[in-house]
Amino acid sequence: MQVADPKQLEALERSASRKRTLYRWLLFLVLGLFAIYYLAPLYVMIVTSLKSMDEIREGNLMTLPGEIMLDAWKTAWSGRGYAAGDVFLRPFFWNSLKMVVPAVAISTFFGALNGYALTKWRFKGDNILFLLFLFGCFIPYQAILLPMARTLGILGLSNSISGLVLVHTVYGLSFTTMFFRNYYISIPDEMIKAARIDGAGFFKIFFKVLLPISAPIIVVTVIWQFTGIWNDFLFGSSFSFGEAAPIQVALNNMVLTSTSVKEYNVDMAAAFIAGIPTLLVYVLAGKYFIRGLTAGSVKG
Amino acid sequence: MFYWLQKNLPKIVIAPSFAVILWFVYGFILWTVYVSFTNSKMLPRYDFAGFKQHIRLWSHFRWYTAVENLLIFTVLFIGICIVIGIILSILLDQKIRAEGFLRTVYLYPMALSFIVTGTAWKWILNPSMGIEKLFIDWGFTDFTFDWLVNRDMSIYTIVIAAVWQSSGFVMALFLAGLRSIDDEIIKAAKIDGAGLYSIYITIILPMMRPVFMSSIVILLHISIKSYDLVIALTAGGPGTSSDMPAVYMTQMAFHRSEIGLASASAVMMFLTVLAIVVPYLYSELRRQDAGR
Amino acid sequence: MATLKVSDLTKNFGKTQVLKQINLDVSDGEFIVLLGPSGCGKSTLLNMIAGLESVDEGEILIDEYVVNRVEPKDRNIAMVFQSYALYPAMTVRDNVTFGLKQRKVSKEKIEQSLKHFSKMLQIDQLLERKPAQLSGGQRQRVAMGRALVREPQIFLFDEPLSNLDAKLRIEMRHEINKLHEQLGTTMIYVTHDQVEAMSLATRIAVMNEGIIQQIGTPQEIYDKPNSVFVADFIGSPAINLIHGTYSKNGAEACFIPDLQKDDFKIPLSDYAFESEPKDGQQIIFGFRPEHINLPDVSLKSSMKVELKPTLIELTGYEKEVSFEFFGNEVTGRLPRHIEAELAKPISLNLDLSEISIFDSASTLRL
Ligand SMILES: Nc1ncnc2c1ncn2[C@@H]1O[C@H](COP(=O)(O)OP(=O)(O)O)[C@@H](O)[C@H]1O
Ligand SMILES: [Mg+2]
Repeated sequence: MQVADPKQLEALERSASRKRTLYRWLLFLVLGLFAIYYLAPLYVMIVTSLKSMDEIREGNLMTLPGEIMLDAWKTAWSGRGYAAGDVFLRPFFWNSLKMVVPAVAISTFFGALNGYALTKWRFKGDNILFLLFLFGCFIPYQAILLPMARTLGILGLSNSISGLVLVHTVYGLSFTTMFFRNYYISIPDEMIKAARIDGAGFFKIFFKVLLPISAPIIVVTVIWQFTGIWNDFLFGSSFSFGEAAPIQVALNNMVLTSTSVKEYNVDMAAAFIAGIPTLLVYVLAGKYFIRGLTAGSVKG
Repeated sequence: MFYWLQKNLPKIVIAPSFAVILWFVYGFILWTVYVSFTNSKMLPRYDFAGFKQHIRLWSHFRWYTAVENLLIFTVLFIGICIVIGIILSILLDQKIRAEGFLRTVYLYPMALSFIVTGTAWKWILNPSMGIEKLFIDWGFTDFTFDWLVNRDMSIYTIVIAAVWQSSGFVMALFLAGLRSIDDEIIKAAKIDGAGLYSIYITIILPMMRPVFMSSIVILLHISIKSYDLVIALTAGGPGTSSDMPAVYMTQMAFHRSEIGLASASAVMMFLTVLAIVVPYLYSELRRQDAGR
Repeated sequence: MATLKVSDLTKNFGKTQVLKQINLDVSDGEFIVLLGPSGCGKSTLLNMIAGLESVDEGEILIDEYVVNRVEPKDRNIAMVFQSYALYPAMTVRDNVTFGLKQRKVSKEKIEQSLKHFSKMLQIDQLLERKPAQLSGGQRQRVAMGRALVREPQIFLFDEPLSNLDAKLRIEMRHEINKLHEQLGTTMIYVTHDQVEAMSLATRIAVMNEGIIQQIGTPQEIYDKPNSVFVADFIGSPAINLIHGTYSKNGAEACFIPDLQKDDFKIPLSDYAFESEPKDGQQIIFGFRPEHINLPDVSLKSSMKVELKPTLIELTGYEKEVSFEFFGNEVTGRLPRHIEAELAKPISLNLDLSEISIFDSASTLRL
């Protein structure tokens, strides 16, 4: 059409601006509703954990606590103070920490080394090798659960934190190797060539040239591994029980093995405590968390 | 000697990790496959028994429930996650001021474990004190919601919680995809006279094919492995009505002393993943090669 | 067929002002080239004309109607982008006809246009392919086709040739030139390549830092740049600029370079000042490489100089020679048969009829 008639022009302008406003409102409405959908469970968890059981029975999910009660949090963290059948999270929280720190550190270090060797010192069959590593990201762990249990038994590591460290390190290697390999492949080979001409060897190049520029991928990998291992339940529940259990297992036990009356406020406080470390990581380093999720989206 | 060491250092460095992977991944999988062809019960036995365990597995009504549930769960979980993910990513892509905040909100459940997720939703969906009571308090006095204890509906509660946990992730994938689109393509479409709706339907979404593929593969993978959420939310119940293959496997392995049967079910899960992942990895690698 | 008028157009991105009160008047059938360094706001201006960026201040008029808030699709324009912006999931046919389909043009009409223009652009063999299966040059043609079939009243081009290799670029430049001649449609063309600008434009608007520095025919821009920026930006090798002083003694005016020796001066009596500087004012003297000539060339107004070559480069049909000139290095374009040797002074003739003089302080033409 010809932009010609001023009246028509005015109508065009008016309809364009009206449409824009309408779209904007609709947009924020939908986005807001979804925000509520995602936030509601968190709200319910917090509110419930701050109420007494009486209040919970009287009110509903959304009602705010009349007065803020921290008893449930205390019970969830350090128990009621009597011995038998009292499950509380404190010891298991430390179990999880003792498991996560070495497992993350070891698997990340070896992942970096593998990624480096696979990309900067190409050798025959390195791509096949990488594929074999990569495949480990995808296997359903049910397929290795039974032999792993037996192996841990033979090694005398059943029901121990060291056993879980071993398991998480082994099955984390695939992921860490993939992360570092994909990062190092984007770093120009010239940098390594220059260092070699300057007389640096394999390890010198790794520690002096590559590691100093690997901070972003180290953060991504550490966050990925930390979240994965902290949140693991399958390995924890299959290879440990009782005192050596990690926190997710303890949380599940706590929720299941209720005493005579179900204490939802304690459950919610416990669930929140179990989620705090990963939530904290997400809030503090969300950018790297998302990068890990999307960068590693070749995996699962 | 020194020269040999120098030359082979990369291989030597990789060797321990590779040996570990060979043993703990490939060796263990072979072991599991082998055991699925034996009579193993409480302890593994290495006598060959043919397809006995597989036949037992496929005649077990509980396994059928698990497989059926997996199908229901997978279809709904993937479908809903992708729909929500697309909607949210497109809406967030409209130059919203609060985008950073909203993205954080949509994605935070991904940081929580399935056990935490399950615990929270178990309370929310509590048949008497949860969402049912909420709606009654709000004036819907006839409202009932008992899916958690309803044999026919319990699997859907798992879908609800899983979608809540994972849909933000699909949003993030699609948003990254949308952001990678050349701005000029959208400008060209606007000049060509396409409205926002038809720009997305006819131009942008068809460009998102790789993102669809990745999302589907990743979600499929999550759903085949889903174990924690079921345990925390319904523990497979009421009865065995919300069993899934992963739950079935651990039940047989650790509670029923049916190692052979458990292995047979694990092999089924492994084969399913194989059927999805191998073509995906293959096409992914070809795409990368082509892009180079 | 349309005119375009841009008045006092201003655009801010956050706190930075990327366009500052742009004025531009394009008459029907003109080929205007917006020329300037990268980041000076050319694309922003073009996008605003297209309606893809909102207007902060000022007005855009197409055929005398203010279109500030009219949607891009209602402005009856077509645009070709630097990245071509083809729709990857569509075939060439669908790419080209997409705009017409959106406008609910009849099937026969679409088919007819497609046939006509795809033949004209030699893409009629490629219609069923996807963009990924095309070479760079073919993609460029498809992008052109997509704009052409729309038969708009204004064509907008945003660096359409800068992703092509040198040979194809020249080829496509010729085609665009022919196209403009055939269609006679108003065209606005953005580029940072001065050769493209010179060869395509009926008028060039030279932009820098959000301001149109000068607008005029290619000849005007080249011969009478209105500022040091324009003088320096246009022409390759670049114009020679010498700092010095203006001296006026009665009727005799001359330029005295800084660092001169032996009372060297260049007479400026024949230069037509737009505003004459004061005696002793700091000025910049500019002359283009082709204004250094062999002594046997006869010129209207010239002076003899002895210059020492410091660098000699053969470019093919001529030699580019750098000379030492009172602490400056100046470049000359000389026929390739000259016998120049490094550090051996040669006698040359400096053409004074086409020089430019700028004020040192304001850098504007005097
Ligand atoms: N959407 C935007 N947001 C912020 N700054 C922008 C945006 N688009 C362009 N700019 C800035 O405006 C200036 C002009 O950009 P542009 O018009 O693209 O320059 P040109 O096309 O001449 O190279 C640049 O400094 C660029 O960084
Ligand atoms: Mg530009």
